[in-house]
Amino acid sequence: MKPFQCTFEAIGTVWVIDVFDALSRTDQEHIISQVHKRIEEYDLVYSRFRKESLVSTMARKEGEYTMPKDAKELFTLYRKLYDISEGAFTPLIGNVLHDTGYDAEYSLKPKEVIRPVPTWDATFDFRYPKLIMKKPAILDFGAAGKGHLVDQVGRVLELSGISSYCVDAGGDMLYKSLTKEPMRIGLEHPANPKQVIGVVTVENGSICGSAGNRRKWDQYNHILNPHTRTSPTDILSVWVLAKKTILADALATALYFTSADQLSEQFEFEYAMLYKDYSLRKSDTFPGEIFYK
Amino acid sequence: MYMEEQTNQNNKTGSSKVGLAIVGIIVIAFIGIFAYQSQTMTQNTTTSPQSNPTTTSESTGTNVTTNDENPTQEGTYKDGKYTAVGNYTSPGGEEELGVTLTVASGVVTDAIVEVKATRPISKARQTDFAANYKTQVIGKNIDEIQLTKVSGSSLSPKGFNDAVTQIKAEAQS
Repeated sequence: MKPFQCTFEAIGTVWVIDVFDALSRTDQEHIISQVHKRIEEYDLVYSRFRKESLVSTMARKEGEYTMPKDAKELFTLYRKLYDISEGAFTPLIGNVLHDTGYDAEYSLKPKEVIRPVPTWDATFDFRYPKLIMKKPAILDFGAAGKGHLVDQVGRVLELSGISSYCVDAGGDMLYKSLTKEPMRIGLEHPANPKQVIGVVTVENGSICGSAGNRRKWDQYNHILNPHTRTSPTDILSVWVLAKKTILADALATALYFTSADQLSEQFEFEYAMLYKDYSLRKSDTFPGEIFYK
Repeated sequence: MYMEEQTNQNNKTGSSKVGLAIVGIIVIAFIGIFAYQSQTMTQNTTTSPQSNPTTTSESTGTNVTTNDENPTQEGTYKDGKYTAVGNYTSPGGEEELGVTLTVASGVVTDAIVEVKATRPISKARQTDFAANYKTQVIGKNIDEIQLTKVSGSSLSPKGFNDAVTQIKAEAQS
């Protein structure tokens, strides 16, 4: 009975799940199938890349929709960040992503007119479990959905009695260790994936990174400012550590548009931001080491 | 030049040496910029060689030679904040520059440059330097460091990568 690791592709990224508790083979197989089930279930609601998903239906038709239980946390956080960022952090970025070419077919060809982003209140109303789409819109939960799902997968493991594990979805991860064994995580150099610019130590919690170096096309990357409808160029990478992956993931995007001080008033997190000139700004108690020139 | 330890009372000698060494480097960096600027200024205004940068180099030499340690040598950096005041001779006379370094887990995590100059030109130069002074990060190869994981941008989906490849191929044909 050894700790085990499982690697697979889902929701467009590579997942690596490590379980450090001893488990029997049967248990391992059972847990992994539960994990796959949870991911599929989530994807069928929130993925705008799947025609049969709930959000794809919302993009075609207004009306009243019943949301699953997990929507509460996701929409609450989105709304909070929407307000703090004055609308910059919004699920309604979906239309812009679509128009710039980051669509379900990955056309990567920007349309001639990039439509402006509608406001939250004019488009939909969320009162759990009801979501009322006042008009059809492409909702995109890319800024927090993956982190949210990582937390959900963590919960699946915990419900199976696992206490020490790491759920890593393409570099956004949740790590829990009963014995508080520190995990060393490198901060990827945005221009060279074979290098890191620092190391953070995580004992129990999440780390998420956000950078425009991989998903880029034309003059865009997947981080888009809804007001200017352009991708920010002054920040190369952002890393956030928080208790929950949903928060770490969301803030790693929110920091592109909102000041760290403003976000610190509302949330508990640590961060590091790498700028275009390779200078770095980080929280005072950032638990890691940065390599300076 | 004098050293003042703000937060750490223990291991004073060792830490101070390290701090001093780093301050030495920063002062060199500053003097370097200053020397370059004064040289440029000299050339532009064709004044007499009184403002020759060798004056400043001499003072740089003094700052650094007070410390025998190799500034880049690895040492036991004690966590804390270190403040030092460096002095140098500007074309107008003696000037001071303050530097505060934060050391955490053995590495410098922050550096603040404090303007201490009294003469208007020096003051302007130091202000300019302090505003533009930023510690830059560097990359280290993953295989040189013991790591469990790496975090950056998420690996992109296969569909996305395929599309990029296709677009590139189309652009080339």
